[in-house]
Amino acid sequence: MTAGALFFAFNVAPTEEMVLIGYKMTPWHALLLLVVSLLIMHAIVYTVGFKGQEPGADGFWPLFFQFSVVGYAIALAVSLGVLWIFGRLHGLGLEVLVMTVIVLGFPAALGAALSRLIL
Amino acid sequence: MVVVGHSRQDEHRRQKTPLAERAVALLGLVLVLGVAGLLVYYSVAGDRSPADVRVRPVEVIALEGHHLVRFEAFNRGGETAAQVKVVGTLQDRQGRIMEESTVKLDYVPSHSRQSGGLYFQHDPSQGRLRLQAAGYSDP
Repeated sequence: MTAGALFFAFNVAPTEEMVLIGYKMTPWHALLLLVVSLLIMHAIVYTVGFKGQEPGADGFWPLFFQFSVVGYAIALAVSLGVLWIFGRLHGLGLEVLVMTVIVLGFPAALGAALSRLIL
Repeated sequence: MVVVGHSRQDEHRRQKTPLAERAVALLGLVLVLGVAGLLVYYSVAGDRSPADVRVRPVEVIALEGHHLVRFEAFNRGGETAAQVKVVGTLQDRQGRIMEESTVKLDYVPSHSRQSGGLYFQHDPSQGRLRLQAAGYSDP
């Protein structure tokens, strides 16, 4: 999952738009994006039915908490790390920093979810 | 409601889930909830005041042929300022303007700092140096 998140995040992190979106959105937008990222991740791996889908015999909540939430946490960590590597976080206040991490966390979450299907 | 459902499921799979996996799940949950909590806090109690960029000189460096004034811009407001124009004026002892230099900063996000530099032909230590943000645009 980390590999997938890195693969997606590295491609978009150096661009100006990621940071710009983070500046323009309000915390409500960011919160919504967090929920959407999490749901999309869960949907891709367990419910949409792509090839390589994981068998979801365990019920919704255990799967959600054991894999999707953890996967999203990984995606956020990767997002933070990649932004830091590209020097995007220099001098940023906490609020803007968190929002930028969430914005990049969306492609990172997609990458993480897709890598679970492939690997 | 979600938390209640979670703990019930926890009981259910206590036997078959390894401890390390549960610990990681908990760590991930704490991290995501922490970020979500922070966002809720900023949504409700966050600073929505207009951008307020303050500029202060950090150091003056004498270069060959001109002087460099390194400065730091800090946005005290809650909104992000883009295209921030920083103007530095150098006055002599009588208060006449000797020189003016300007630079544009791409972004100064809320509660964040950006740094930059202004060049002057005259030595800033020989006069009075004033740095200020002249204006910005919304991002």
